[in-house]
Amino acid sequence: MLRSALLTFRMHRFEVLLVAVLLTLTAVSALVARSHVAAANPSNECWSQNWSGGSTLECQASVANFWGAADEASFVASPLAVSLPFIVGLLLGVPIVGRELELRTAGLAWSLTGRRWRWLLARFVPMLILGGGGLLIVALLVADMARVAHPWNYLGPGRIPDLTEIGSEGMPLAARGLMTLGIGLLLGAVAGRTLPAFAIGTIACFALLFLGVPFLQGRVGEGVAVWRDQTDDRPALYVPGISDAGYRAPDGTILSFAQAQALAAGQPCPPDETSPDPGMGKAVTGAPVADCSGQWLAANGYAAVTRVAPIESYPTFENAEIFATSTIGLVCILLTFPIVSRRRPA
Amino acid sequence: MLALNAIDLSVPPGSIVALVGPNGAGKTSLIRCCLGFERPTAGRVLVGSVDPQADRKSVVAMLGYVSQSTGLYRGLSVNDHLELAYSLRPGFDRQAAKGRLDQFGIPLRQRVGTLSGGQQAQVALAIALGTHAQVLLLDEPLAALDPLARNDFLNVLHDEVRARGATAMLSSHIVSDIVEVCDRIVVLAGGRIMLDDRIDAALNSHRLVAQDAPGQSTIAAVVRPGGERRWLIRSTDVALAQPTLDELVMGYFAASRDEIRQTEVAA
Repeated sequence: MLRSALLTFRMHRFEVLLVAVLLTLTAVSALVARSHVAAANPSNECWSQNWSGGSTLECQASVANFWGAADEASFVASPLAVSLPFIVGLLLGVPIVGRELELRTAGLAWSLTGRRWRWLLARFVPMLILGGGGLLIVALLVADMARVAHPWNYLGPGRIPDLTEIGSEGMPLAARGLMTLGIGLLLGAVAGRTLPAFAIGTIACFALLFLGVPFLQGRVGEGVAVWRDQTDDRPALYVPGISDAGYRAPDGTILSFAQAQALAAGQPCPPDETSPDPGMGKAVTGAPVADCSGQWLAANGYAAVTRVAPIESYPTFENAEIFATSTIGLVCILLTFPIVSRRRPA
Repeated sequence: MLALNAIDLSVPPGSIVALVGPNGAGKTSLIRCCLGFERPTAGRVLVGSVDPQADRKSVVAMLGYVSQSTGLYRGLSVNDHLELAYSLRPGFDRQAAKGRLDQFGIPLRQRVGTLSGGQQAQVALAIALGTHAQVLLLDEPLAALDPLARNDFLNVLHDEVRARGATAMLSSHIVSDIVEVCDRIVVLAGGRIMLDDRIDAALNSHRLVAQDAPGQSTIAAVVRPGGERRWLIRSTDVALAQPTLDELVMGYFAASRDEIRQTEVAA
């Protein structure tokens, strides 16, 4: 097995070397950044003062210094980590079958064994271990760096997650790598040429990133979204496509903004007890001249609400992406086996 | 357009068959069908008594293959290729392959991409022979080799096949090279078999005549070097001149070309 892995790495030495350099660079930059950020981290007391107000000048300087370090830290490691699964996946996935067909070496290999699935496994598994293992290590290091870089938020210790960060660290990053590796493997086997497979793979990855991910988050968001009073200042996740506003009736029914407006239309303005002139806002004829629907709704127990995904639902989004990307990757990998079995070598 | 059409060919075990044909005749397609790399649209191919499409594993286990492009990994060393073959083919004889390559002074640690064409062909042949396959399929392995390398290649092939009682099919369009090692010839042209016979029998049953005459079993006109025109006929008349193997093959190539032209005119 080790001999077979070494042969695979020698066959694709350029890609293996490039991937190893990228993985090492990202891992080292995450480690260095983490240590810089950790060294600049102010005391808990300082953080607490910072968010509650009234911090000392020394504390303010310390926090400002920390944010500077955190920004610098994320400057190298984070962009690398976001693009790494796509680069690693395509670089390692495409040539496994694509180059063998392109350079006509598949004919020799397939004339030596009738079990092409074993040949494919022997070529694929080392690449999976290198790419998957490397990405997993990088993903964990970047996640740790991000944790250290966000020690406190305005509610207390910890970090407020953001859906745009999914895929830049932790398991979702590794799962994206698996997906791209599978896509690259499949495209290489289908196209039988590396350059077209790289080009199509890149387009597919962009499409998944910019269309697939928002679509998935929207679908998950539909399931987890709740209506929350606009006065509720607890943090929430911004989910593309699910943001909405309306009113909650006293009986708990949610009305859309238009429905609420229709309900309040024509209602007299409630007396404004804070105004020295209770009749202000009305014309001499008694017809309303100002839109008092908001006041009427508030006075009658209708609360303005916003549809948001609660922060606690972040793991649901994360797990959904891990599941979706891993599934796409595994399906692509499994589809490659029958294709290789039927493929005619050049 | 069919690469092969109405082929009926049986290769006797223990023979070395020369598969001769012009470019595009279907030689590679025939060999690839035997390997299971191509699926016939009609009819079937049996290796031993096994259909490569039904049981590729068993068929491939019987076969050794050398392709025209050799199919070697340019970035791997010679030794890596032997390791690769060992990992893919149970029973691959690394020692025998190394010994064969040592005979030709091919360094095992050298990258294949830096070897000469003749050395690469020897590596490909050493891999094919290292499998101890009972059937060897060699698809124009001599095309890019100089005369010395061709000679070395054919000597190794001949000795190994004869020593093991194996069967080999060697495709080429350089007739003079393979006549020394082959005992049968199959002429393939336009996707059809034009001639399938033992080489000595094929030469004995054909003659060259100066004029085409009615009643003769004429194959085609052959233009000899210098522009002299002769007619290849089927005959055993000892009074007539026997063709060389080159002339015999050229006659069948010409016959195939004439048939294709007539078909095109008729269409």
